[in-house]
Amino acid sequence: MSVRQKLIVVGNGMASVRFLETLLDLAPNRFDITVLGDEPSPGYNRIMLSPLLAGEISISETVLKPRQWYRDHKVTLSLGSGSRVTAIDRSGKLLATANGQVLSYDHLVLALGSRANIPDLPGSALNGVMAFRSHDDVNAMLQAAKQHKNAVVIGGGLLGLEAASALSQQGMSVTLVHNRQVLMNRQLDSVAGGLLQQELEQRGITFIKPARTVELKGCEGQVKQVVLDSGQSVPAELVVFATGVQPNKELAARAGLSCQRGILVDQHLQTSDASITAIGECVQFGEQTFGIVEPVYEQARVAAHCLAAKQAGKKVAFVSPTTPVRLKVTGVQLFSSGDFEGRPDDRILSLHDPHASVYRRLVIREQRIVGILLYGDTLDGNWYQSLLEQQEDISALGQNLLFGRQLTAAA
Amino acid sequence: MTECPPQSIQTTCAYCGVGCGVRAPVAKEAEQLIAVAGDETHPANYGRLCSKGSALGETLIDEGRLLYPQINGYRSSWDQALDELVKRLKQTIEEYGPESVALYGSGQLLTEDYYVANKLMKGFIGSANIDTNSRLCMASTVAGHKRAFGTDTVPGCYEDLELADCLILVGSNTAWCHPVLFQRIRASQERRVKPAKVVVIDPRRTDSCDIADLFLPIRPGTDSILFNGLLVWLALHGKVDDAYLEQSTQGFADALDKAYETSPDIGTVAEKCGLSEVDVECFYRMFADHEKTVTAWSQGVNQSSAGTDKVNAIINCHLATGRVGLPGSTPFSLTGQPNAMGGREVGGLANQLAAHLEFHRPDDIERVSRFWQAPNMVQQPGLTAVDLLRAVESGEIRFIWIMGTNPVVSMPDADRVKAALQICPTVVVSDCIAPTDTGQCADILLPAAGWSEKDGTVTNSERRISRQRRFRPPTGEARADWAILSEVGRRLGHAEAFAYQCPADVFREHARLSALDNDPEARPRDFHIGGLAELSDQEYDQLQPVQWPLRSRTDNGTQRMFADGKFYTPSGKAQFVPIQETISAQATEAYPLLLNTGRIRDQWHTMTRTALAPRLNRHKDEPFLELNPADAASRGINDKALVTVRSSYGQSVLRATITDQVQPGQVFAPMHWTAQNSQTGRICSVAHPEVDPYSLQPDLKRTPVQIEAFHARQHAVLICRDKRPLPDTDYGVLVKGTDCYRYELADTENGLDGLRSELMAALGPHIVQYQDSELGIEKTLWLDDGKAVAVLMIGSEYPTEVDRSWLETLFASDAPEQPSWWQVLAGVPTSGCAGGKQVCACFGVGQETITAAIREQDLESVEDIGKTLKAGTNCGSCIPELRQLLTAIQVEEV
Repeated sequence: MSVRQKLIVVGNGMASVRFLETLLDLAPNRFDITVLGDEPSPGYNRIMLSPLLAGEISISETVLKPRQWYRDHKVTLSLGSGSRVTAIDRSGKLLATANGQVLSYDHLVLALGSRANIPDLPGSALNGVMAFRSHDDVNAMLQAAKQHKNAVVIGGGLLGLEAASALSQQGMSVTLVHNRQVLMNRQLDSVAGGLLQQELEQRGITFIKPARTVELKGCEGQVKQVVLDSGQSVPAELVVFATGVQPNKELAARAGLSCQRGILVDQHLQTSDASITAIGECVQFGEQTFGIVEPVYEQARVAAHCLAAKQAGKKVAFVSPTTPVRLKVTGVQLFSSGDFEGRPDDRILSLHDPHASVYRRLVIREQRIVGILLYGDTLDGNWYQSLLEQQEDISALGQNLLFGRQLTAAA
Repeated sequence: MTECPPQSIQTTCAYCGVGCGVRAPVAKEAEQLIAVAGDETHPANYGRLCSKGSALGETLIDEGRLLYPQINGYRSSWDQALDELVKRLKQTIEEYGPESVALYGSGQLLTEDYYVANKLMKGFIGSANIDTNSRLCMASTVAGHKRAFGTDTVPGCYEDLELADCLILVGSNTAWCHPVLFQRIRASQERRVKPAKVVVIDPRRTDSCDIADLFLPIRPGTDSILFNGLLVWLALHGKVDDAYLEQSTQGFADALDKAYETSPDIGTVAEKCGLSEVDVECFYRMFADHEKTVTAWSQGVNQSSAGTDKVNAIINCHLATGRVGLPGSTPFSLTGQPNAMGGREVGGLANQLAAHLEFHRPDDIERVSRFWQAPNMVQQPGLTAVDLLRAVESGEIRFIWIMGTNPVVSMPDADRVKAALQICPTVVVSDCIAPTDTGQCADILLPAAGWSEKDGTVTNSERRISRQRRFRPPTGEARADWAILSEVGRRLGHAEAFAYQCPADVFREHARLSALDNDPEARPRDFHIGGLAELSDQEYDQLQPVQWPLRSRTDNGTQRMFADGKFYTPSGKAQFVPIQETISAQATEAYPLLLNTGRIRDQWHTMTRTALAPRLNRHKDEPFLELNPADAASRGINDKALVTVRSSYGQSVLRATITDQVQPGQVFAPMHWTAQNSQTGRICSVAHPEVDPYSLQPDLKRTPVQIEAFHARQHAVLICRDKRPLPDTDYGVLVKGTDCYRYELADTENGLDGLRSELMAALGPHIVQYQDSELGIEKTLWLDDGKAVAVLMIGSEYPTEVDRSWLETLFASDAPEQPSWWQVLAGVPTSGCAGGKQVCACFGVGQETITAAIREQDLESVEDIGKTLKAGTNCGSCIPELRQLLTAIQVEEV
């Protein structure tokens, strides 16, 4: 009987769990697996934090796998701040944890995730200033919502909008500050952004944009006001920063792995050390870092396959997909994919129904769809996405493409 | 279609010369839509109606009605308007003489209107310059009848069409233009053990070919050659009736000699007429072999520079075989208009005197003058239509009164007619409709009572006089034409001569005049309705349809004429007319195609009334040009593309319909569209003003033209809930739908961008919009309170994929649930909703619905379609189209 390889997975988020699931399926008994996570609870679905904050679901519904699952699969699970990895000794294939443990590995998987950007502004350390990343953040925000009236969310991306909407649902008076004119500008154009804003305004959220936050003012350690570059100040007992994330690369950097914005990986998710794989939001693949779940799941799948196939010599490659962003921002359907803005000589199809709050835009280049933006009704998103992915020539589909699959077929 | 309440009025249809009886409910107010039905007791139609007749009730709306008199565009009272009219009339006569006054009337006037107009002009104003649009319709037949029979007499009756063993339709799309007669023919064919042989002679393969055993696609204008050839063939084969020739005719030898010159043998005939020898011989044998042969003709014969000769070439063959006025055996002119015949009877044409009395007989002039007590009796014929308008142009005519017709649309070289009217010092127009092309040239506009408000008589193509009865009060201040004319007569100082109190007064006088000296000893004439001269008012009201002549109160009328072989010529014998070959306008290098014009199934004349009924606009919704695939291909013209058709007189832009139903070298356009509903659809502005030398009827069937593709930069379809002026674009057509108006537009520049801004300003910013940057497509939907008020679709190409009939249904007040606005902008209904282009106007059944039913329910016959969808079961005029759809699908499936 051969000795089982020791595999350590650092991180217990969505990438980690999807990786484990795949690997256990492919090679159930080959590895002796340990998972280390610095949050106290088992891995949870970060996408569910918004409904959790809105009070729509309970914590248990966010959990990805219960502890029993790890036991059933003979995976050692070590959670809590003590399990945080502090150093990696690559030459000795060892790592150290915060509580002084030293573990050896044959192969190491880093799924370290990312953290929120909280800019270094005057007052950013005041109580009531936080990010929106974890169960702890949600708990703190729920607490604040019980005690206070005014919240300011900084950042009009997806996360910021969801936070604002959830806090509004919790009864707070919410102002959202965004540094651009268009909300969710990485996924939406001005028309769709305008429709979204209109929708959220109807739910009581106030928008100030474009505006930058220059200072947070407080009283007795508690934040009280957000000061904007215009000089305007907005009352706030809770300030949530949703201004983007940065990959957690520091541990890897200290260990001498090649890093830029994130931990650099190749198409097999291998770092500059052949014994170390990295997946999820901590990695950088080419120029890309990752913030949405689909490519992360794909990385987890590819990494598991590569590891399982090591002996057979077969390797699967990761190709960063043109992943559509399918979002449901507080009940509003959104679908954004590819180059939805397009170039000046692209063919643009657009459809705007302000009454039904429906907007559609397709960008077509050389008879192929290269960009999709759907707001309000995303039923045809998957169809367009398949046309985009397969680079299908759309000239045969007639003039009613933008009206959807049914009306295209009816024409 | 719909059951009428028992208390209904019997009247007659307003449209074609068939003169169908109609039942209409009595209405107290001009309000809701009225459903009419065919009068099952009327001998013209026995209850049948065509699509136009069925929709009569839908045209009884206020939209477009001329409600009150106007002087120079301003409302006036009747008194002011008549004062102004009479003042100008007197001044004109004083300064320029009575010949400077003209009246241009219409085959849609009632006999009583016509009679008073004729009397006023010829007896009291003293000008014979009274002509009518009947000149465009059947003047050649009048001339032909007179040359052959000595009088303008239709020998036969409708029953003959059913009794004939051989039926020849010449230049007559009976299926579309006289649909009820076509139904009667079809029904009799179905009843008969041995159906009649049917020959259709027409340059176009029309829907009338649906019942044809033999179709002769004749080269335009060569009908006389064909019938001359028939005369020769009959003579050579011993098929002439020698006894009849001897007893009842004169001039056979001369006619035969001339015929032999043009048409010596079948080979020559076939060559000249563009037909196969086999077909020509087949036709000649059919004619020869059937004692009971009816040759029926319409505008294809009449509207020709050799129209009168064509009529006589046909009549010659009937005379040679003794087939005149016998049951199922006669030449038969199918008149175009509802009362062209009545007009002929009163003498309402410039070269007729009155009541079949003639200018060329001085004693006739004296008779009429004495009868009318006329102070200013005319002594010679006046100017006929084309010349009359030329005299307006030259300034010889300085006062023209146009009644119930639209010469700016219907006359050839129509732009010149319009220009002439624009410079004429006084133009009076009486009409029931306000916005007409001709009305826009008027100085004085008089509101005339329309169908349903008018009361009088009409005569149909078989000499049958019927009462057209009033069943609604006049709209606005409208008055009957006879009453307006009489009032003018009285204001000119002829109180006694124009003292009529009611139409019956006029009719009795007309009947008395027809009987004046009308006896073998004095001045025998065919037209004699002396039997009606003593009708009481009540008897007049209750008058049942009756065929003239009827010479006494006990006379029940006359079904057929000339069966005795006696005619109204000086010798009492019918005259053969030698027919020469006529050289009409030919295609040239510059104008290589021949333009034919004519009617479509669901419109009447210049659409002033039929276009008010949405369902009549669905069959053919845009003015179009039919052309052969070969002519289209050589010019790069696609189906549905816009095409410019141009003659040396004018030009028109139309939608191309590519079909092999027209032959190479020929094109066809409908005559209906006007400047009110199209920018460029007035085809008569292209038509040449050539006329027949005898009848002076214009040749509207063969104008040399050129065509080319019309290149538009933008195309658009606009549908609005409320009517808007036709936008000033290079191409534009207005189509009335149910509770909406549709505009088909195109522009060579970016003229439609302005339209969008205009609509935005007018209709507000509540829009849904679609854009395609590459195809230049912009679709905009305007909403008001959640309902569509307008949708505009602009693109660089004609939006063929947009299902207009479906889109229009969204605007209907009784529209079912609204679809999504996207679907509206896509312009395509999801499956199941699409009806497609309308085929059956009576039940509103579209082509898609029919083809789907044929495919899915395996329908095999027109009867199956009728049982399943009702299509074709009312007027039946769509049956040829249903059959074409069936055949197309059956061919496809084989």
